[in-house]
Amino acid sequence: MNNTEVLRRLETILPLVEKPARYIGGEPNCVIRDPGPGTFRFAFCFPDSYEIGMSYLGMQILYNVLNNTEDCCCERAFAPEKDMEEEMRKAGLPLFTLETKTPLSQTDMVGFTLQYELSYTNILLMLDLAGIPLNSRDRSESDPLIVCGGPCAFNAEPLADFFDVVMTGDGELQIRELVRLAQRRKREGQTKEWFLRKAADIRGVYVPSFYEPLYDENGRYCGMKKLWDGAPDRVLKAIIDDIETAEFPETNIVPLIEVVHDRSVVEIMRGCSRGCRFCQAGMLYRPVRQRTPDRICELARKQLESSGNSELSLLSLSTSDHSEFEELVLKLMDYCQKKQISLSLPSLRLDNFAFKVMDEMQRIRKTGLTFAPEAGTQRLRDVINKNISEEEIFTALNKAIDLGWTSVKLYFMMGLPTETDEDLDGIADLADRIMKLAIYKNGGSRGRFSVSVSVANFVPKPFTPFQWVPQDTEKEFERKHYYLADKFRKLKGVTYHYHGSFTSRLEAIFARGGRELCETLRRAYSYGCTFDAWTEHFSREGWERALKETGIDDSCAALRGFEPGSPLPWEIIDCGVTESFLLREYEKAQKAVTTKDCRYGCNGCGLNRYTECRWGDIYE
Amino acid sequence: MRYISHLDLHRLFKRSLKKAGIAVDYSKGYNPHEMINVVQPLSLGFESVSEYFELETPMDLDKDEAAAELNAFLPEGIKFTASRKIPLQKKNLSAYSEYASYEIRIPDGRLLSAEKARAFLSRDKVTVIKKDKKTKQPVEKDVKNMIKSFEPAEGAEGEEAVIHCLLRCATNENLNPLSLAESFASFCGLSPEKGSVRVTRLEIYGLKEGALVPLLELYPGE
Repeated sequence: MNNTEVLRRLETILPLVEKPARYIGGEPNCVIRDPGPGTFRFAFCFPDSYEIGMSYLGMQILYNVLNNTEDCCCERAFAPEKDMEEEMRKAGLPLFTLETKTPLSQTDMVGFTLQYELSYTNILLMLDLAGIPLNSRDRSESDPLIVCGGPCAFNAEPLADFFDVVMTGDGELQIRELVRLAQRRKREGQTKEWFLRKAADIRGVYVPSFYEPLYDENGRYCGMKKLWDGAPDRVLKAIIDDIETAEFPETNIVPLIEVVHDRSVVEIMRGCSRGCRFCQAGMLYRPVRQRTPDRICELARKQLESSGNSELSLLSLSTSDHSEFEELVLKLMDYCQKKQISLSLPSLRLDNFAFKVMDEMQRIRKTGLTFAPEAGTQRLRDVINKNISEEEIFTALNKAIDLGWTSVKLYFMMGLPTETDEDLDGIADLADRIMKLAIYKNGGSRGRFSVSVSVANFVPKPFTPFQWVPQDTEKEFERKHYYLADKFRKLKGVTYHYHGSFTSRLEAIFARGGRELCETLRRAYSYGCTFDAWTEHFSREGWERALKETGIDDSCAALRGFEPGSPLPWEIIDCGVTESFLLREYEKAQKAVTTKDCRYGCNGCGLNRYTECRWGDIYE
Repeated sequence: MRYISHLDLHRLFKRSLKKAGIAVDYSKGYNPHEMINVVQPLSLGFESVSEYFELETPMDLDKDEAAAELNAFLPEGIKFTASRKIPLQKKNLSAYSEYASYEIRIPDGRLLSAEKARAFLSRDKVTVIKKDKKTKQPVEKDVKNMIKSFEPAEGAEGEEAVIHCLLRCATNENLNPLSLAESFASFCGLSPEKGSVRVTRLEIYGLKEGALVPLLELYPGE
C-alpha cells in the first residue's frame, strides 16, 4: 500500500476516533523528508499512546541522532488507542509512520523503546497492525529489522522471539553504528544472517537468535547455549564516556495536542551515585556523567527558542547532585525569569538552597511538596540504602509550612525485603506526625493542609542488589494494603493511594522472567490484552488465562526469587556492575548496613573497569 | 488542519508568539492570562479558509513581519493571510461576529436538491437536535430565524452534494452547520454516516452600516 492510499483511508476514519490529532503528524519541528531510493528508513516506535510517547525525552534524542545520520530518515509511530485500532482494522489500514504515512512494513528498521513491562503487549499490537510477522524467525529477508533498546532491554528475554537485535546501554552512538551496518547490508545486498553476525560485534548489541536458554527438569532456567560460536559469551552494555559532547536535540517536536509533559527538557546528568538498592536505573545508568552549566544553558536556550515552550525542566536521576547545581540553577532562573518561562526542578533535595530557589520560583502558586522516603522506618530505609532521615524530612517541612505550603505528597513502597508490619506502621505514623506538625503550626486547626500517601508494590528488578529476592504474594500485598488502609482511615486529611497488586505481579514476572514468557505474551495479546498500564483497558481475565495456559504461576522463579550464585535468565547481559558487588550490597541490606554515596569514595561496583568515573570520589 | 481543538489551537498560537518573540498583554486578575482570542472557534473536525485571531501586544510591531514570523513556525494548513492593527476595544472581536458562511459536503446527495431545500426552509419551524446544556438530553430546537441562506450550490451534480449557507454565528446565538445539515439530510430521507459530512467555514461576517461584511473589512487596512 502506498502513502497516498494510507492517507486516503486515514482521512475516512479520522472523524470517527477520539483525538484524531494523535494520528496526523505534521507537528512543528518534526522531520518530513522525501526519502530518496537510497535512504535508510527507521521507524521509531513508542509502545504506548501518543501523549505518553511524546513526553519521553529518549525518543527526541534518538530521533535527532538518526535524522542527523547520513542517508537515514527517522519517523515515529505510537500505539493506536482501541477505537483507532478497531477503525484501522475495519478500513484495512496498516500501522504507518506519522511523518510520511509510510506503512511500517515498508521501512528498513523498526525500533521499539522498552520503558516498562506493562507496555510489552503493545509491541505485539503494533507489529500485528503493521502486518509484520511477530516472530523473528518468521520474517523474511525483505521484512524490516525489528530492534529495541531502553532500560527493559537489559532483560529482553521475555521478548526475545520477537526482536532481531536488542540494544543495551547508552544509545546515541550505538544506534548509529547499527544503522550504518544495516545500510551496508542493503547496499551490498547481504543477508539478514550476515547483518546479525556483524551486529553482534557492536558494543551493547545482543542478538537473541544466537542463543538458546536451557531449562532443568523443573522448568527453571539453567544456562544459555550458544548457537553460533562467534557470538559473544556476554554482552557488555554500550557506554558513552562523556555526555557533555554527546548529541542532544536543539529543537524538539512540538505536539499539536496536549501531552503529559509539554515542555523543553535538558538532561543534565546521567547516572546516580546514591546506590539505592531497589533502584534499577541507579545501577544501569552508571557511571555518573554530567553536562556543564554552560552547555546545559545553551541547550535550554536553543530548545526554548525553537519550540516556543513556556516551561523548562531538567532531567536526571537526582537533580541536586549535579556538582555545580547552584550555579546552574541561578543561571537558569535568571534566564527563565527574563523570558517568562517557568522552571521545574524535579527530584530536588530539600536543603536551604532548594527552599530559596522554590520560594523564588513559586511566588504565586505553591505546588505540593514531595518526599520519597520509600520505607516507613529508619531500619528499612537503611536496608534499601535510601539516604533520607526523618530529621531531614521534618526540618524541610517546618520550613515549607512557614513558607505557606499546604500539601505534602509521600511516596513509599511495600513488600521490601525484611519488611514487617512495624515498617508499615511507620508509614502511617510519619503521615500522622506530619499532619500534627501542620496543625500545631497552624494554631490548632488543619486548615487547608493535606497529606497524600502513595504506596507502590515493590517489584524486584534484574541488576539490582535485590535481584534475587522473592516478591510478596498477591495475598500478602492485599493483606498489607488492608492493614494500612485501616490505619489511614483514622487519619483526617490524609489520603492513601495504592497500586493494584496483580499488575505489580505481572511486572515482576516480566522483569525477571525468561524466554518462556514469549508464548505467554503472544497468548495474552491474542486474548485482547493491550495497554496493560491503563486500568480502564487492563484485562485480568486475559492475563490469567495466558499465564495459566503457559504454566506461569506463583511458583515461578521470577516471583519466588533466585538463590545467589544460581543462573539468572538475564545473565547474558553485562551491565558493567559486577555480580559480586550486587551480592555484597544484598548481604549488607540484610544486616541493615548502609553504603555511602560513591562520590564520597569508590564502593567498587566494577564499572570503572570500562570507563572513567569522573564524578566518583570527588568529595573524598 | 481539521483535527486540532480550540484549546490546542490556542496553545499553538501562544507558543508561536513566544517563539516569534512577540510579547502579549496579560489580563488583570487572580489568574492572569494572555490577551489573545480565536474568534468564534470552530468545532473539531471542521475546516476553514477564513479564521480570525486577535492579540493585544505592548510592542510596536510591524504587523506583516509579525505574521511572517508566526507563519514560519505554524504547521502546514494554518497560516496568517492578512493582518490589521485595530484600536483597543472594550470587547474582543468575537462580539462583532454576526454570521458565518459555510460549505457543507454530503457524500451521497442524490436525494438533495434546491427544491427540497426550499421545502425544508418554508416550513413553520426548522428544527435541529441539540444537546441540552444542563440535562445532556437531546432536544429539538427551532432555528429558522438563524438561517440567512441555505442552498445547494449551483451545478452540484454527481454523487456529492455541496450546500452553501449563511448561518447565525454570534456570541449569544450560534447555529452549528453540521446539525442543520443532518436535519436537512433526514428531511430528504438520508442518513449520512457519522463523520462523512464535511464542513468548511468560508467567512465570518460582522455588521457595517447595516450590511454584512467580512470581519476584516470592519478594519480597512492601511
